[in-house]
Amino acid sequence: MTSTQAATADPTTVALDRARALARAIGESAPFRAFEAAQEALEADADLGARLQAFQVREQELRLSRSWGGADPEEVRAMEREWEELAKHPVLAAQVAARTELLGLLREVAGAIGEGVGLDYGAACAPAGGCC
Amino acid sequence: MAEEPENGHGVVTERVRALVEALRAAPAIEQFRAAEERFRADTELGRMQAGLRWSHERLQRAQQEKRHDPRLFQEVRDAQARLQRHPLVIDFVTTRQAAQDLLRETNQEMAAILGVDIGGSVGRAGGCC
Repeated sequence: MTSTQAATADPTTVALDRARALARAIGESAPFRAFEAAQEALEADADLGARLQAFQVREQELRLSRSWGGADPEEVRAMEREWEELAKHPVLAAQVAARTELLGLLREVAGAIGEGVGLDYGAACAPAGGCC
Repeated sequence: MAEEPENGHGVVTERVRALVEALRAAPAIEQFRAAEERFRADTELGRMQAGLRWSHERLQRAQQEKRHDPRLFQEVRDAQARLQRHPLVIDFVTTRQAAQDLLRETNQEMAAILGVDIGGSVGRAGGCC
């Protein structure tokens, strides 16, 4: 869209066009590309994937036990130790670092939009909550 | 946002600015900002909100002290109802909903391209006036 077209277009349409342009820029940014590469490497490692999946299943079970008040503290500590071991794997460590970096960029983007319009972007996009 | 053009951050920053500028010109956001200004500036509404907070604090204190006082409970409910009926509150809540709908729409457009839900990644449910 040219600037002349943008000036005459419906402001809401312009905003949606610019949101798409922003998404393309994020997609080309270093943090996003690094995350994609790290995620691909993670998905390509079948052994690590199986260990991660098994860990996540047990973690989910533990979370359920916790919500019923029946989690064994020793089991919780064992899971934490296991995650520490798992996270030492270079492929997983790289994926976690890349995800953290990308989340940092997304938080900055959401924060800047929210500040600009006077609304919390994350809260606006999350499921509705209550009010007075 | 910090400028780091060498890794694409500068382009992102520039496009965020462009999006914010466009959003601020969109009717949904303009109307919300105007409604919010009226809401914040109204002294009568300020008094009503302070009254609700006061009643609510008294109710909480009574509950902490295990005193059951139906009149206090009714007082809070009445104050809430009066606020919810106030035209400036209705306007504020309605326009905020429309503004949030527009923000959600931008989030959906971006998610369709990126495969990542930006709002969902950073968001939390809730929020109140």
